[in-house]
This record gives sequence, C-alpha cells and structure tokens, in this order.
Amino acid sequence: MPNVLLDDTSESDWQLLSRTAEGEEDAFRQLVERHQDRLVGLCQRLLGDREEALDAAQEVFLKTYGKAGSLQPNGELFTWMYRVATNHCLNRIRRRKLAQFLSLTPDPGAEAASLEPVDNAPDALATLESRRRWRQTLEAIGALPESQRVVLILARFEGLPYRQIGEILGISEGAVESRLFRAMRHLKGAQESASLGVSR
Amino acid sequence: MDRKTEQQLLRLLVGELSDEAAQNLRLRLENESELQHAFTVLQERWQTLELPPLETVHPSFTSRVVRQAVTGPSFEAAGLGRSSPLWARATAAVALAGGILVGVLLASPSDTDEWAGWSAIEQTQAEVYWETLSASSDNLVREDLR
Repeated sequence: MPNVLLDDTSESDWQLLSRTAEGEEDAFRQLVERHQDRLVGLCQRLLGDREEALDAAQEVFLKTYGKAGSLQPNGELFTWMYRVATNHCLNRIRRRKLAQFLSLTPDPGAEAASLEPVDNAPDALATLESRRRWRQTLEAIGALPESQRVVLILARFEGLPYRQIGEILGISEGAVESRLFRAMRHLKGAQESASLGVSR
Repeated sequence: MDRKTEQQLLRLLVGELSDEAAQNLRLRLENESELQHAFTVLQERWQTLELPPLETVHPSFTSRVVRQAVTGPSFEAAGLGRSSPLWARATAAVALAGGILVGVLLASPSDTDEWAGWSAIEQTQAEVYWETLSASSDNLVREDLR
C-alpha cells in the first residue's frame, strides 16, 4: 500500500483487525491512527468539506470496527476501507442532491475553509496564486461527470494505481483507464475554452 | 494523434507502463517532436491540477472514533450497517398492521345496536330530504301548468 509505511515490527492491518475483533481497543486505535489521515483526506477530496469528511471517515472506521469479526483477510484492508469511504461519500452527495458538488464546495463557508492555506504562508501573492490554482482545479474537477471525477481524484490526488482504483470502484482496469482518459480530455477542453475566454 | 498513443502517454505519466514499454515510448518521445509536445502538454495539465494540502487529523479524532466504537451506539445506528434482517422487517410490518387494525377497531362504534340506530336516523333524514325535493318539484310543475 503506498504511503503507509510499516516497519518490520509493525502488525499488518488484518492482524490489527483480528485483535480488534477480540476486543483489544488498542489494536483498533492503531488501525485508526495508521489510516485516518489518508481516509479523511480522501473524503475531503470527494466531499469538499473538512467537517463532513471527518464525519464520513468516522463512520467508515465504525463500520470497520463493526465488521472486525466477519471480514475475511482478502486483499488489502485499506482498499476495502477506501471502497466503503468512496461509496459512502458518493451516497452522501447523492442524498443531499448537492448541486454545489459540481464545484466540490457544499457552501461558501466550507469553500473558504477548504481553500485556506494550511501553513499560513506569509507571502500574500503566493497565497493568492495558490488559491487561484486550487479554485481552477475545483471548478475543472467539479465539471466532470461523477464517474470520471472519482477516478481522477483517486489517480491524481491519492496516487493510486489503476488496479487499486478498479478494486475500490468495482470496475476493470480498462474502465479506469478509459474514465481517466476521458477526464483528461474534458480538462483539456475546459482549459482551451478558458484560455479562449481569457484571450477575448 | 490516435487514442491508443494518447492512452500510452497517459499510462507513462501515471506510471502504469511496464519498464520495457516505457523505455520504448521514451525513445519515441526523443525522436518525435509532435509526440513530445503532446506529452509535455499532458504533463502540464496533470501538474496544474492542484488542491490545498490536507491537514493532519487531530489526535482527538482518534480518541473520538475509538470511544464511539467501543462505548457508543453501534455502527448499525450510524446508518452504515446492513439493513435489518428479513425476520425483523416482517415482525415490524406485522406489528404495524396490527396497530392499524387495533386503531380501526377502537375508533369504530362497538355497539352494533347503536350503529343500527345511527343508520336508521340517517335513513330517515334521507327520506325527509327526498320527500321535500319531490314536493317542491310538484309545486314547480303545477305553477308551470298554470
């Protein structure tokens, strides 16, 4: 699993889950600590809102806890958690019929928060430039069809390979490639339209 | 440029090509300016996709999740669990139907005589109405004949 570095002494996710099923609270804590940043990050990318992402990630962890005794060690646990998180976030979006999701921004307040530089960069111009790029990305990704948007987020921002994206979304690698390809074509068209608009 | 080549470029960009295929494509990139240009554009488009860096999750989140899992409501209550089993849903449906039936029975007059009395009154009132109506019709016909 990329980005989750385990040393030789670390227990695997499945081992931790097994101990969780036996009632060892500390094992579950380790599992949460190991994956919370990436899981919350994924939810935030999909939902566009930090607080909602924390809620969503919490529910995914609670589901993992609830399933600790019944999940079979098959593949990577984190892939399963990613799948649950992705489906959960998409369901949330569909449930609230989030038109604003086209811009990945549930409300103006959330948008402002999500675009706030984390490190409070002292350089005002650099900050403004960063915000401009982020906004452009949000708008471009938000204009994509949902199926392409999810693949793009998983590939570009989560850095996942086609195989894993396919496992998460329950589609073939070929379908992942096709969706990513079409997403990039959409973005190309959007960028060309934007540059035409600027040049006029 | 055909779609297959574009897909190859995208595969190269995201690291999905095998070593051999990647090496072959890189050789082509060195020799074909159009291909090189297309790859550069694709790279730029990919890299301009930027989102704000993500914050590290606060340790209180971990504690909250663990506490919720161990002591709080079950994950089923969080709306993520499986839907209730068939037997539970069937029991709930029967209970609901039973409740409705009890409600209907309680709301209905229990004494059949009393109900018959109400029916009789209603019948009488209807009869009075029709009589009044036919009487007034007769009067109108008589006035017309005059």
